[in-house]
Amino acid sequence: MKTHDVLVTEYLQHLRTAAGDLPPDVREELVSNIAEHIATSLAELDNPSESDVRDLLDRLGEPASIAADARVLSDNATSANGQTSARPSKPGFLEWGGIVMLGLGSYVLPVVGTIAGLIMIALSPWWNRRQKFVAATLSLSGAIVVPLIAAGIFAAGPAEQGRNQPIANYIPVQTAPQSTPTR
Amino acid sequence: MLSLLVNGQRYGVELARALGEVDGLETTEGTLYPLLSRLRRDGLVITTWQESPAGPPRRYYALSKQGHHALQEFKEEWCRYRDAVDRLLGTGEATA
Repeated sequence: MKTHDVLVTEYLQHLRTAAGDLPPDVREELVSNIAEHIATSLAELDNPSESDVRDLLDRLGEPASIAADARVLSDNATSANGQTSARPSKPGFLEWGGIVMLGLGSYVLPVVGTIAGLIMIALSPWWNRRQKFVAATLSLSGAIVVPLIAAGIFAAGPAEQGRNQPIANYIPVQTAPQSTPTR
Repeated sequence: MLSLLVNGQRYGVELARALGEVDGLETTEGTLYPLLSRLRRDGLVITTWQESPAGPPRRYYALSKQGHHALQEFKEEWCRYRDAVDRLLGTGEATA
């Protein structure tokens, strides 16, 4: 019985150390859960031997890997290499704001709206780098393609008729007396 | 994990055993507990302490209302996904 206790105590001590960087409540819950698992499992065995205890601890896994899992699953998940894996569960201000600015804002506030939308999307953890790049390329390509098309139309435009004629035709005041039959 | 609780509450060691029996899920038992803690913090499972016939009291895990809902949503999502893949690969029962 003595060796069992030593093995279990050592294991829990390693776990506590490995989970040292976790929030105290998360760490305590983890250690108490594992301690309880060991106690319950041993109580279900009839007079457990030392190798039973070793098997049990083997099945539980390395304390470091349990602590690593707890780190990933803990709420303010900042892993050891400083990488944050915290992605909000729902899109918030940055996400909706970015979409609205990029969509509607590009028309209401042409250049400023687009840039604001792109900045909000760039700041949001919701999308990955590739998605952000695609959003930026597509919306900025509009700024280049639309003027090009417009330039093309204007270049091909004034061919047959007089320069001001097409526009003048659409002004009702001027066209009305010419186009409506007088009788 | 949630689906293991759908037929009623279970305690940790029981869950570990059930997970071990599922083919293709290679996990160490210890990693079960961080997951259960996370589900509890998210309000998807609730825990209660109960006396056991032998040994120390056990912490039982059960699905909360929210947990049932999340499981249902996941099932629907998974079926849609599985059907789509089946259609692509021609592996579905309906397409055989």
